[in-house]
Amino acid sequence: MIMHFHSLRHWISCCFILISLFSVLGLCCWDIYANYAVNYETRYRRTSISANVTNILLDSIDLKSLKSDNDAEYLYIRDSLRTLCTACHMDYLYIYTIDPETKYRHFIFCTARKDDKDEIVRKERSLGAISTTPLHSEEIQIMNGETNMKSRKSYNKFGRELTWYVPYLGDNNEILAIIGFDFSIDGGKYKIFRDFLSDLTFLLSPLLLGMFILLLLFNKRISIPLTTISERMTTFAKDARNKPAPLFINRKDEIGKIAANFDKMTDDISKYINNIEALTQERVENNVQLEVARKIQLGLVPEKSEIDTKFFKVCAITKPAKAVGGDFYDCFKPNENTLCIVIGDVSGKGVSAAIFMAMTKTMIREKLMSGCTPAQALNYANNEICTQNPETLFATVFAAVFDYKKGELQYANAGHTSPVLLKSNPSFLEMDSGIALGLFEDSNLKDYTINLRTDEGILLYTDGISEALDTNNKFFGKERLLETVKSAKLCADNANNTVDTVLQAVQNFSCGTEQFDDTAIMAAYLKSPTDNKSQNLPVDNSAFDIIKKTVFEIAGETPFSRKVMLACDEVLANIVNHSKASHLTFSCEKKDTCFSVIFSDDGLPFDSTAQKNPEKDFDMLDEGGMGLNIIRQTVTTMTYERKDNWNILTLNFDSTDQVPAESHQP
Amino acid sequence: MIMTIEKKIEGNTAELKLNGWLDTQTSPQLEQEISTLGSEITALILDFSELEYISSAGMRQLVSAYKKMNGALTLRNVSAEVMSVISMTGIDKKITIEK
Repeated sequence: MIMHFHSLRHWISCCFILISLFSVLGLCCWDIYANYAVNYETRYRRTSISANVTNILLDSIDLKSLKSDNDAEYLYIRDSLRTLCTACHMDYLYIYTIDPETKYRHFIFCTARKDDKDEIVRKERSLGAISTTPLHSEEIQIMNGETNMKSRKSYNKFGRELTWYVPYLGDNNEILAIIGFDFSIDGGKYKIFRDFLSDLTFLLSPLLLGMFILLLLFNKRISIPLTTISERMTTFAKDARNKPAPLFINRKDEIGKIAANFDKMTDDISKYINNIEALTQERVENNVQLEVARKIQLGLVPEKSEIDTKFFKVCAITKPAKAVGGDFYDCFKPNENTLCIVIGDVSGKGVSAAIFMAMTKTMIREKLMSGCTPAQALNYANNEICTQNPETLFATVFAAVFDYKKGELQYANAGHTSPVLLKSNPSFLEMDSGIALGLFEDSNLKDYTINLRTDEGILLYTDGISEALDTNNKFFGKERLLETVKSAKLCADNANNTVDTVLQAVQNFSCGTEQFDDTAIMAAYLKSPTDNKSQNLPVDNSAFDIIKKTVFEIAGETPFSRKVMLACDEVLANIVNHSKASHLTFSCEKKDTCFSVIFSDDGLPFDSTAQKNPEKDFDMLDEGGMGLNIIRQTVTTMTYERKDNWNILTLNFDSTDQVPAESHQP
Repeated sequence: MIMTIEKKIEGNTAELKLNGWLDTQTSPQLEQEISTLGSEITALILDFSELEYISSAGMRQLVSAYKKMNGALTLRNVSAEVMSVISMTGIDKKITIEK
């Protein structure tokens, strides 16, 4: 039997009703039982007593000697019997004998309690009256001596009766007569009902009333507070942001404790939820801001950038991290002959950092485009930033300018990681690291200058590279970066490869750990017209001293090396005077006995090897024309190549050649 | 490269001693010296004992000087190395060279 109650009150009320019903039912049963069983018991006792009394009465007379029902003796006994009958609350009391042959009953006495009934039996059942009604089994049993008392129920014109039969025994235990005691069992139902009603009124009602009062009390003290708490709790559970109204149940018992704790807990929870909501809101807003900033920064700094011109090759790659950092780079050419490269790392995140990056990048570019040196550009940017920097954002920046004609790199550093010099033996660029832009008003950064040959360059990077972490939280480090660079083939054509090699090394190192910082990397090379690393020389006679220094460094100062210089002198003079070149590179190499020199100029196509020996009169020789002659007689072999708008002239000198002693007349 | 010129005038003869390299850069110095010689100088001697190197630019100056002196140009103390260069151009056939 499953019943779902939505309220304690209903449950208690149901119990109350059930208990009431069961009590009433129980009372009913009891009353029914009492009336039958108990009464049966009572009647039995009464019968016993009455039987004794009747025996005594009958002993005082001689039954056989009774003649008339008007005898004083008879009447006396009869009165006594009637009194007894009344006293014991019997309906009838009668004495009779049974004729053994006819089995008829022969009445001796018969009395009734009620007057009207008594009148009837006085007439119909007095002394000598005969009843021919067949004997009942109980009477037979008494007659047979099987029992001393036996009862039976009957229903006849005399009413509904319970009759007890008791034998009257003589001196020798012979049955002289049978005594019948009739108890009314009529109106039993009515009596039961009456008893039931009185019990109900006097017994059950007070109890039920008491229970009802308890129920009301329970309702007020327990059910109502619990309902209130329960309702508040339901509302609160639906929306925990709103603190429920306080309960005001100031009791010391369990209900009071529950109420007090409920107040406190809901207070805590609603505060907590409101905080969480505010925090989450804040975080969502923050994320939106970061997303906007990220978009701005991605727009400012393209993921990959390349420059590939006659003189320069640049490859730049940036990998922004999930949490936007602030790495940026820039590469541009103010003119054909110069290349500017910039790399930087802006502190902070969010939209203001993105805007700061944009401004910084633009300012530096503007200054470099207009011809300022790197230090000038950075100092200018720093001053501008410092005039208005409420959030104290700062940026580390490295800026450099390549001059192809001079073969020079001019650079300045504001606190950035020092670039790797991409030469045959790579190393880190030496310089004062400087201070990041945006921190102090007087930055006073200085320019540095170094010479680079063709196919040499620098590698710029941010600390997303040098501080990349592996699974053991170790840094990639600058040494490892240098080693990686050394492992790559460093030349202008491999600018992309240089960058990729480093990025691959970093990825292998961190193998799977999430990149948490931005990465930006740029490789910039001077391009070489030949396969050799060459010096860039100015296209004027001052290049001669530089060539001489280089040649003498390699070959010493000997007649042989002076012979080399002679050829170089003539080649240079031709280039300076006739080629209209704007760029000139020079490289030389000594291999065993062979010394070779390569001149590349971007002037008019001119193949020295194809020219015929000019025939000139002596008198004309002061105007020139001897150079080519000298070159041809000085070199061992000479080759020419035109490649990518460069004249490439290679001179080979074998030191085992004799310095010619004879002159040749062309 | 640096070149220095020591000038000595004896009568109508000027003697210029060249020390160093006579190349494209330094030959203007020689040109300058020769052009400042007065018209009374009728002969020019160039002392090459300290001359380490000569290129075609230098030799153009020699031809020019020869013309100016109407052939009265003498080269002295020419080293074998310098001589070999001069002989490449064939101007030694005209210019007087004293060993």
